[in-house]
Amino acid sequence: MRDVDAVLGTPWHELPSADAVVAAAMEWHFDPATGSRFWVERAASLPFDPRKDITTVADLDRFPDVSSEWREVPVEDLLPAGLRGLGRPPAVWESGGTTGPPKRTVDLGQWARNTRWWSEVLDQHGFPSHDGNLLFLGPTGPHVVAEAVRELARLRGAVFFPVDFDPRWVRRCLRDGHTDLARHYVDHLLDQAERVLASQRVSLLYATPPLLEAIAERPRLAGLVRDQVRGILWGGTSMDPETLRLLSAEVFPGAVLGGLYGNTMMGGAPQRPAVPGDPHPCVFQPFHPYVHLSLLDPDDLSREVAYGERGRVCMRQLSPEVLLPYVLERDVAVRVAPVAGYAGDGVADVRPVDDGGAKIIEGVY
Amino acid sequence: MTDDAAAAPDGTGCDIDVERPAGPYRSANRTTLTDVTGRPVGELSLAPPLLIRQVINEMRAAPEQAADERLAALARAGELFATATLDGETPDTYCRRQALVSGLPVSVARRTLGRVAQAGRAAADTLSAQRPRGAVPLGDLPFGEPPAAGRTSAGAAVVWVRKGDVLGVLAPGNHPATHVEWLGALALGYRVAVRPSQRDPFTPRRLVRALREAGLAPGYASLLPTTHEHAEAIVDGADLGLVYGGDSVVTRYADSRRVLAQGPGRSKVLITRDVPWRSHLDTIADSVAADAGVQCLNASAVLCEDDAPGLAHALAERLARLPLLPPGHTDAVLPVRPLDEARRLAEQLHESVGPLYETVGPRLAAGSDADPAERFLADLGDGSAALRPVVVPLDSARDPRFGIELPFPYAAVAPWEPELRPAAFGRTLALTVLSEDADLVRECVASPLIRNTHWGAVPTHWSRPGLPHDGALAEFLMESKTFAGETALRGPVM
Repeated sequence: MRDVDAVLGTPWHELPSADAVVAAAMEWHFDPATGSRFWVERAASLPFDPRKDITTVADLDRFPDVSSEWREVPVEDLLPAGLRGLGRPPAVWESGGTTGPPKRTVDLGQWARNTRWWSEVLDQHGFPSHDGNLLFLGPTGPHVVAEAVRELARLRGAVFFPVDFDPRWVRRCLRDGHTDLARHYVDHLLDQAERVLASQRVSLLYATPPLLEAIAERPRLAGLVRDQVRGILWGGTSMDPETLRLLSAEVFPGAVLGGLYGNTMMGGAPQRPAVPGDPHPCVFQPFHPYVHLSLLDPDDLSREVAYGERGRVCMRQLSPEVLLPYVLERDVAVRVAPVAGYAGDGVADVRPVDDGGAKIIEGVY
Repeated sequence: MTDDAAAAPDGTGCDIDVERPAGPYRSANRTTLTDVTGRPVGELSLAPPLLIRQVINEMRAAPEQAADERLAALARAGELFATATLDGETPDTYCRRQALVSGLPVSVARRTLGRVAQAGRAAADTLSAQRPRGAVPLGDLPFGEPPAAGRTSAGAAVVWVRKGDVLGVLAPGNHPATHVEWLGALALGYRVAVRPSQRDPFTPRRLVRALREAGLAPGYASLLPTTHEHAEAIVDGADLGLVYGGDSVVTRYADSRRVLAQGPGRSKVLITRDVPWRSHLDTIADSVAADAGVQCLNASAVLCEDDAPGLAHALAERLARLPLLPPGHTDAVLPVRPLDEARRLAEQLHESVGPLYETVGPRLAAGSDADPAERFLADLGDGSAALRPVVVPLDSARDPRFGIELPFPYAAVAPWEPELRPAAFGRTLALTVLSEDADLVRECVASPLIRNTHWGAVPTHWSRPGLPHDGALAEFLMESKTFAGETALRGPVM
């Protein structure tokens, strides 16, 4: 048995090859001595032997998408045996819960590793560090993003100012047609944000795109953000290219904007700095080589699309805590070739699968 | 910016930008604009909600322009719309673009040139005709002629004022002349944000360009193309909304004091026994089919007391002679849609009125294996199809197919029975009454369900600037208020 940290936990600047990570993950997660009950038991019903037959990222396509089973599985069954007895229980994070009960994952440090890398990416963007505090306007509670950004604030010497935010309540209001209630809730969040900004030194802001738009609508609040925030992090929902351009060029011209694509199962894929000739203003890079995003032809999911083409996002995570070899996400995105400093494919222009981007319904008129 | 100067005479190369107060603005979100044959002709910028709100804020912040300057600009703009080359677009190029993308006969856009010019010239007169007698505009209140220092000289006055500053318009694409309506809002001092239909972004774009060229202050008109999903943001961001759509849209805003919804017109012709319908077939056919039958003012139903089936036959025969031509042809008179859309419409027609249509329309040859739905369209062979006129004879005006409105010449013909009375019409935007019965005509004029009554050989689509279309827009946009200065205290008690 290999030492898990020798491969899966390698610092990201001494990257193992993607296929080496695949082999190590198979060994770790399917060895009864180290793997989780979920995967070790599952191995018996797989039509292949993961430890022998799965050696490349492409081989991961042979796995079924098990992620929806993680809505019901007791978290003890998800924890690899090799990580028990560390003297601390794992953190458990829940997915958004947009489509039914939330999925759960266990975490003993993968998100912190991902966040350390994210913070380095932010350095490249020129985000402030050890120079002002961080206001967080994103999901709290069982959602991991608040913890990740709390860690990010710690790394960047910033006091973490969160505002309580339950996104499931907002979605429920919207689903049930209570748009007024949802708007009222947003006002409640922004009132709290305004108090933090008015009294504290805040140079970093994390907010979801709808909240950034709502801030832009409140002149005093937008002014407070413009006065002192130098770096804006956004994530949680997709943002169309024009809204992104307006926010950075017209609404908050003095701040650098950096997006984060991701979710509980995927981890965080930060926006990388633009390079000359980039066809997309905003390219997200997953935490290579522990997370891979493959873009599959929506009409033939066995085929990966070419660079520059749009495909359905398929996520794979290979960390010491989590093995998710094949998760079909609800998003479509454009596949972008790796650039210097960022191994692995990037993704751009992420949208929900059903959003054609330019739906114009025509009636008689 | 668009490359209009380089645009080919066939109307290609016509991108539509967002028009902000500062000028044209290309959104990073765009969609392809296609003509009725499916050929891409350009890109349509799409404004996301944040841009919509930004632009409306810019309009609110823009400086005010005096009423006389605005009215002068409106008159000039109408003339420029009809005659000038605007950002490289000649009137001819505009007409072709409008026709090829909307599928309407090019003659419709040509006539719209004149109608816009006429509406611009008439804007000032229309405005004063709509103002209640005795009310004064805000600008005419007598301030600053003090009989003694520190007092206003005003007595009591009725002032006619706007209910808001910004009007959001979700424009229709069925007919280019519908845009004349919001010119009236500009005359009243509203700032107007227009969301064009994807079928006709060219008419409002040309209007906005003409208005700016004519000297209307740039904050007064903007063009905000956006997706169906985000159109609501324009109405939400504005003070008042003018929205066009089907029955669902009308129902949705029925109780709104802030949004005026204009829906299907369900215009009709009524002929009583005392008038021979044979001598009025021209008026009836024209009411049904003028301007390709796409207006809410086109008749979609005919009530005839004497021999309704005979009238249905004669009308069907008359309309069947209309030529089947592509929209750019000078003699085109029927609407053209992309072939797949026309086929879907034809399928629906075949299911709902197929057997009835057969009694007056073209019959299927015996043993023909042609798709019966194809009778409702004419494949033009270039990816598009002309929609053939349809006349449907019904036994009764109570048939649910009576009162349907479709985007091509379509008329249901049913017998008129005097005991029906106008209350049985259902909502009717324009009614042409061919009758000697003055009581009946008066009853029609008085009916709350009938908006415009035309008596005699006046087609349903007849209109003139200054006459209410669906009520006067000013009734929705303006209100009367009291203003009393101290001198009012010394005035006579009325």
